[in-house]
Amino acid sequence: MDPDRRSALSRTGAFLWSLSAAAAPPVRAAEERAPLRMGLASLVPSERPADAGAWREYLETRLARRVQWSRQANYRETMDLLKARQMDFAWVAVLPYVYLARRGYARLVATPVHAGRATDQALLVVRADDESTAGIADLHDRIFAYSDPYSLSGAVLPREALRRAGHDPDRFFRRTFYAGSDRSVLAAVAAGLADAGSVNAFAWDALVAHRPELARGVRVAWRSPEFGLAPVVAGRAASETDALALQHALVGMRDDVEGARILAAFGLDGFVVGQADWYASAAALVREANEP
Amino acid sequence: MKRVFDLSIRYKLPLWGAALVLATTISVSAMLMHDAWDEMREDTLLTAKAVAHAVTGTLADALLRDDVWRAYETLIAQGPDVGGATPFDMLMLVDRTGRVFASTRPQRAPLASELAALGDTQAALAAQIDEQAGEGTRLVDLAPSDDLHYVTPIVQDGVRLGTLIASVPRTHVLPRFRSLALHSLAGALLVLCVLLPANWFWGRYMARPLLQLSDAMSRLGRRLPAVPETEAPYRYADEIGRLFHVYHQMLRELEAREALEREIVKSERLAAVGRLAAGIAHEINNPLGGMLAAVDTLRCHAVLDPLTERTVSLLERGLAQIRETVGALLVQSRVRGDALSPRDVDDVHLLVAPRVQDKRVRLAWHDALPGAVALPANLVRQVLMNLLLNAVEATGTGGHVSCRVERSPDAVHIDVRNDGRTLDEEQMTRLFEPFSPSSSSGHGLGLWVTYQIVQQLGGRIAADRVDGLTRFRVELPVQEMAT
Repeated sequence: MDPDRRSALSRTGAFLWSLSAAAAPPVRAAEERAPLRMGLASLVPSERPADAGAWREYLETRLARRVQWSRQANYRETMDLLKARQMDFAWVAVLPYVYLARRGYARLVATPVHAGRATDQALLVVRADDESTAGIADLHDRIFAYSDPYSLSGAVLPREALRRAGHDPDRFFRRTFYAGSDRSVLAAVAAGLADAGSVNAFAWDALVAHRPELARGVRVAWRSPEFGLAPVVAGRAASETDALALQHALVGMRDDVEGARILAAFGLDGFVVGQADWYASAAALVREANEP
Repeated sequence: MKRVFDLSIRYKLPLWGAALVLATTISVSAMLMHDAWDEMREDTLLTAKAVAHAVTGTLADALLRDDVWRAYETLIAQGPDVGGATPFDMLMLVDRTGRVFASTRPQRAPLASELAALGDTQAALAAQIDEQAGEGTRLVDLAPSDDLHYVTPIVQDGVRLGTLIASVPRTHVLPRFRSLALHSLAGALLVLCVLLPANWFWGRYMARPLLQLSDAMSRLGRRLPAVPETEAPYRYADEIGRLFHVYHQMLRELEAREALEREIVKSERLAAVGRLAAGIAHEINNPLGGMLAAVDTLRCHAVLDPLTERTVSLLERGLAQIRETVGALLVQSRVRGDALSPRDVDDVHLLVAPRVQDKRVRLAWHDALPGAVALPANLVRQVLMNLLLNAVEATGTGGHVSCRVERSPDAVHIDVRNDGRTLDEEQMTRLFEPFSPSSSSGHGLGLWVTYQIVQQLGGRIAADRVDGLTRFRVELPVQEMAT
C-alpha cells in the first residue's frame, strides 16, 4: 500500500490504541469481528472505574462482542470522534446529541431513566450560605462556573436564560470559567472559587449520594424546565444491527441481576428506547441560541 | 571583684574551666540554632522554588487559555490540604493585569479581584510584583504581615503571563525549630552533665600539687620543717615539678644557713666571753701582782711568829691559786716559742700517764708527726693535754681512749676519742663554753681554753659522736713544712 495510506492507518491505529488503553478488553479467540468502540463523555459524575469496567464486561457478555471503552475529556472530543467515525457509540450529553442528530451524525439508541423519569433539569447552584439568590439574574457581577461549553445544563441554558432576561451573558458576570465537568462546578462553588454554577440534576443527585460533604456546602437555587436525559447514541460508524443489539442489551439491563447492580452504581433505574421528541425542547433551545 | 580573684585555685581553676565549658556550649549551641533557623527559612524558599518550577508550565498554559479551573486544581495540589507536603498556607495566581486568576482561598482572594485592593499587605505585594524582574522565586517579607510571601513570575517564551504567590505564616518553622531547640538544649545539658564534673575533678587534680607547695612554703615562715615532705612527690618535669625541685633546694640551703648562723652565734658568744674574761683577768692581775709582792716583802724582811707565818703562807697560797686561775683564763699567744716537735707529743704522753694508770684507762697512742712543725709548742701541748685529760675524765674507770696526731701538707690533725659517758645535744652545743656544765671535775675551763687556743692559731675544733665514741678533732693549719 502507498505510504500515505499506511501512515494514515497507523495514525488511526495509534489513536484507537490510545483510546482503548484504559479499557483493554481481553482477546477472545472466537471473536474475529472488530470491537465495538464506545465512548463515555465526562458525564458520569462519580469516577468509578471499577463500575465502568464491570459495565463493559457486562456488555461484552451480552453482545458477545469485544467492547472498547474510552473516556473523553470534554464533549467536543466525543462529538469529534463520533463525527469522524472513530467511535461507534457514545453516552453523550444532550447538547452534543442534538447537535449531531441535527446534522445526521448520530441517532438515538437508548435513554436512561433516573429517579423514575427519563428527563433531566439544569440546576443553578450557589453556596449554601447564600440565601438570597433565587435565579441567575440575581448574580450580576459575580463569578460563575460553567461546566462544558457544549453542555446544555452547564452552559447553554444559563446563558439563554440570561439573554431572555435581557442581559448579555458575556458581560453580566464579573468573571466566568469552564470547570470542565459537573463535579468540578460543584467543587468550585463549594470551595468559594465561584459564586454560582450550573449543573444537571443527574450529576447533582450523584454528588449528593457519593460526596455528601461537597453537597453540604452547596444549595440549589433554581431548577429549569425538563428536557431529555443524556442519551446513548450511535454514530454513523455503527451498523443498524449493532445499534439494535446495544439497544436491546441496554434496555434489558434492568431485568438482569448484574445489569441492575451496574445501573444502580451509576444512579440509573434503567434504559428505555429513546424518543426523539423528548429532546425537542432542547433542540429548539439550541436553534434559538444559535449556539455553539 | 578582687575577692573573686582571691579565691583559692582549688576553686578558681574549676570555676574558670566551668565558665569556659559553659561559654563554649552556649556559643556553639547558639550558632547551631541560628544556622538551623536560617536553614529552615532557606528550606522554605527551596520548597517554593521547587513548587514554582513544578507548576510553572501548567500555570502558563492555564493563563494562556484562560483555564481557571485547571489553574485552581494545580494550586490546590500544592496547597496545605494535601497532607502537609508543602507548608504553604495559600497559593495564588495573579494575571498580567494584577487581578487574582485563581486562589486556594477564594474567600481571602476572590477571583477577578484586584490584588492591590485586597488589603495593605496585598497592595505592597502588588507593588513588589510589578517591580520584580527576572524569573526566579523571591521572598517578599512585608514586616508587619504575619505571612512570608514567595513570589514567582510565570513566564513563557520571554512573556510575563502572571505571577504565582505562595504564602506561608512567618511562624511556620517555629514548631520544627522549637523541637530542634529542645533537642539541642537536651544535648547541651547532657554534655554539661559530663563535662562539668570532669572539669571539677580536673581542676582539683591540677591544683593539688600547687596547694601542697603553697602550704609547705607558708610553713617555712614559721619554722624550718625538720623532715623532708613525705606527701606524694610530684613526678613530672613541668613548671610545677621545677617549683618543687627549687623549693627543696631552698629548704636545704636554709637549713645549711641556719646551721652556719648557729655556729657564728656560738663562735661570737665564745669570743665575747673570751674578751670579757681577758678584760677581767687583766683587772685582777694588776692588784694581784702587788699583793704577791707585798706578801713576798713580808716573808723576806720580817721575822714572823708561827701564827703570822701560817697566815702569810695561807695568803701566799691563796693568791698563787688566784694567779693560776687567772693565768689559765688569759691565753697569751706567744708565737715566739719553740716549734712543735715529736718530743713535745711524747712529753704530753708521759705527763698524762699517771692519771691514765690511776683510772686504769687503756690508751691507744699514735704519733705520726714526722718532724718539727711551725706551731707554738706550749700551746699545742696545752691543747693536747686538755683533750686527753678530758677524755680520760669522761671515759670512767677501765674505759678506752685513743689519740692520733698526724701531719698533712697544710695542717696538723689531732684526733682524741673516748668511750663511756656520752654527751647529749644540749651539752654538745655548750661544750666549749667556760664553766661548761658538762665538766664534772675541774673548773670547767679546759675546753674553753682549748677552743680559744685553736681559734687563735687559726684552726678548727669539733666534737661529735662516732661509733658510740665521743670524738674531738682539731685541725691546726701550718704555713710551710718545717725542716
